Amino acid sequence: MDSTISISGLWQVLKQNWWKILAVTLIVVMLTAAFTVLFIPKKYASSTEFYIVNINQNVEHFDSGTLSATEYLAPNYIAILKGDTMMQHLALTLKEKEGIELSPGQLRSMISTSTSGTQSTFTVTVTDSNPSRAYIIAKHLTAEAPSIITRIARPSEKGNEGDRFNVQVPVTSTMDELAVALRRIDEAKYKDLADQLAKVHRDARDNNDQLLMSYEATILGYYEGNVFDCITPLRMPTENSSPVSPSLTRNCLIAGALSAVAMYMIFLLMHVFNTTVYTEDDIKAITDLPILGTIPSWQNGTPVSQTEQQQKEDTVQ
Amino acid sequence: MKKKNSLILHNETHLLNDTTPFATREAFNRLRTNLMYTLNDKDTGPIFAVTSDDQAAGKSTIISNIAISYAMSGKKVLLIDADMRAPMQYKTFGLDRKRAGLSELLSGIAETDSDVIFSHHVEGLHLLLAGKTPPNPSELIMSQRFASFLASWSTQYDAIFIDFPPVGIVSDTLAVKHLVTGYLFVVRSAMSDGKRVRAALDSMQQVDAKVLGVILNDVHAKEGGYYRKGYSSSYGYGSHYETSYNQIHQKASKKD
Repeated sequence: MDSTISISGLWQVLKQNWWKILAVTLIVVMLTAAFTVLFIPKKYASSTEFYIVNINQNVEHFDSGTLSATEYLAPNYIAILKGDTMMQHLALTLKEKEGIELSPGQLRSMISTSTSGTQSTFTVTVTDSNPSRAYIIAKHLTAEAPSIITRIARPSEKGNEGDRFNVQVPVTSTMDELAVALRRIDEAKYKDLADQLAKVHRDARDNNDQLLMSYEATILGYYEGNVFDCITPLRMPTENSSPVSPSLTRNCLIAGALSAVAMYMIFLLMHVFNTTVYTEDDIKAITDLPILGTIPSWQNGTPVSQTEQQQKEDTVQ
Repeated sequence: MKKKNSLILHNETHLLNDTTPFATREAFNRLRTNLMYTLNDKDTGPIFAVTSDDQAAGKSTIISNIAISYAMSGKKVLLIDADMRAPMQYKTFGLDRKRAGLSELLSGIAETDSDVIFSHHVEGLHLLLAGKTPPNPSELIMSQRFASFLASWSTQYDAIFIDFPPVGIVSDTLAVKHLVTGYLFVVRSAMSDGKRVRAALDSMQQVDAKVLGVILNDVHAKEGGYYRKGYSSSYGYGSHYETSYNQIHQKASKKD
C-alpha cells in the first residue's frame, strides 16, 4: 500500500499479472485483426517517379549551387503538381478520356508525394480502393505533369498561350532523344540518367503505351541558352493487385503493444493505490505497534460441511 | 451419550494438531513467546482480548490457537467467546451452537461458572462459549457481574483469552478496556484494508485502550509475505527440527 513503487515492485506487478495482460492483449489483437479484415477498406497504389534535370552546359562540374538549385526545384514542382491547375486538368482529362468523374479535391486526396534526398527525384503515388483506377490516374498524371509543371514553373515570356509547349525549344522531343543529348553533353556525368530515360522510352514503346508515347513530345521543358532544366518520368506506373493498406500486421502489432502497455499501467495503478495489507511492511507503514506474530496461510484445515456440523451437534447432545 | 463437560472434536477446522505444518506451529509458538514478553512481572493471570477491524480477519481462529499453544506449554488457560452476536468458537471447536455459555452466565440463567465452563481435550484448556444471543449483549459485557467473574478467573488461570467482536462494529470491545491486560489486533493479509485498520487502531488509542501488538494472519508466499513456500526446506535449521518432530510423534503414536 505504498504510494511509491520500486523497480522490484514494477517487476512484481508484471509477474503477478502477466497472464491477464497477455489474455487481454490477445483478445485485442484478434478483434483488431477482425476489424481490419472486415471493416477497413483496402487501398491500392500505383506510383511513378520523376527526375528533375538541371543542366548547365557552361559548367564543367556540378557544384553545390547547381545541386541546391536542383533540390530546390523538387518541392516547387511537387507543390505545382498538387495545385489546382494540375488537379483540374487531370480531373478533366480523366472525365473525357476514361469516364472517371473525380473532383480536384478528391484527386488531391488520392495523390501523395515524397522526395528522395539529394537525387532530385520525387515519387508520386496514387492510392485508391480500385487498383485499376489508381493505375489509370497515375498514368495520366505521369503524362500530364511534366508539361503543366514546366508551364507554370517557367512561364514563357514570349510566344502564344496556346503554343506554350513549343515556345521553349526542347532539347529533344522524346526521352530517347534527351538521352542522346545528355550523353553528348557529358557522357560520364549523365550516362546513368540517359540510360534510364532511354529504358523508359523503350518500355513505353514495347508496351505500346500510346498514352505515354503521345505525351513524350511535351515532357521536356525549358531551354534558354546553355542552361535548361526539365522534368521527366523515370518510371512508368504499374497496376498493383496487392493492396498497400490496411496493413494487418502493423495494425495488430500497434493494437497489441498499446493494449499491453495500457493493461500494465492499469495494474500498476491498482497496485500503487491498493491499500490492502499484505506484508509486515504494510503494517509498519500504518502503525508503530509491534508485530507480535505472522501466521502463514493455513494448509491443513478441512472445512466442516453443514451436514457434518449438524451430526456433530446431535451427537454432543 | 457424551459427557456435558467434556467434548470430542470432530473435523476441527484450523486448529493446531499433529498435522499442522511446522511453520504454522512455530508461528504460534513464537506468538506465544512474544506475548509473554509483553507482560510485566505483576501481570499474573493476564487477560488478552483479541479484536480486529472487520469480520473474517481470522481473530477467532488466532485466539483459539494461541490458547491451545499456551495450554500445550503447560499453562491453565481459559478461552472466552465474548462475541455473543456472531459467535465463532463453537464452530471452531465443532461444538453445539445451543450450548450454554457467557450469555447465560451473565444473565443469571446459569448459576455458576462451572455450569458453562468445560475442559477441552488439550490438557489445561477450558472453554466458555458465547451461548445464546441475548437481546442486550453490550450491557452484559459491561456489567459488574462480568468484571467480577473476570477478576475471579484471573486468579484461577494462568492466562485468559477473550474473543471480542471487531472494534469497528460494536462498542463492547473497548468498553472493558479497564478489565483486560491488553488487546491483540488481528489483520488479515490480502484482505484487510490499511485505511480501515489504521482507523480502528486510532480509535482504540483515542480511548487509551492498551494495544499490545498486531498479528498478521493468513500470509501467502505469493503476496511476498514473511513466509515462503517450503519455509522449513529453505532453511536447514527448520527442516531438521520438523523431521525430528515428526519422527518423535510417529514413534509415540506406534507405542500407543
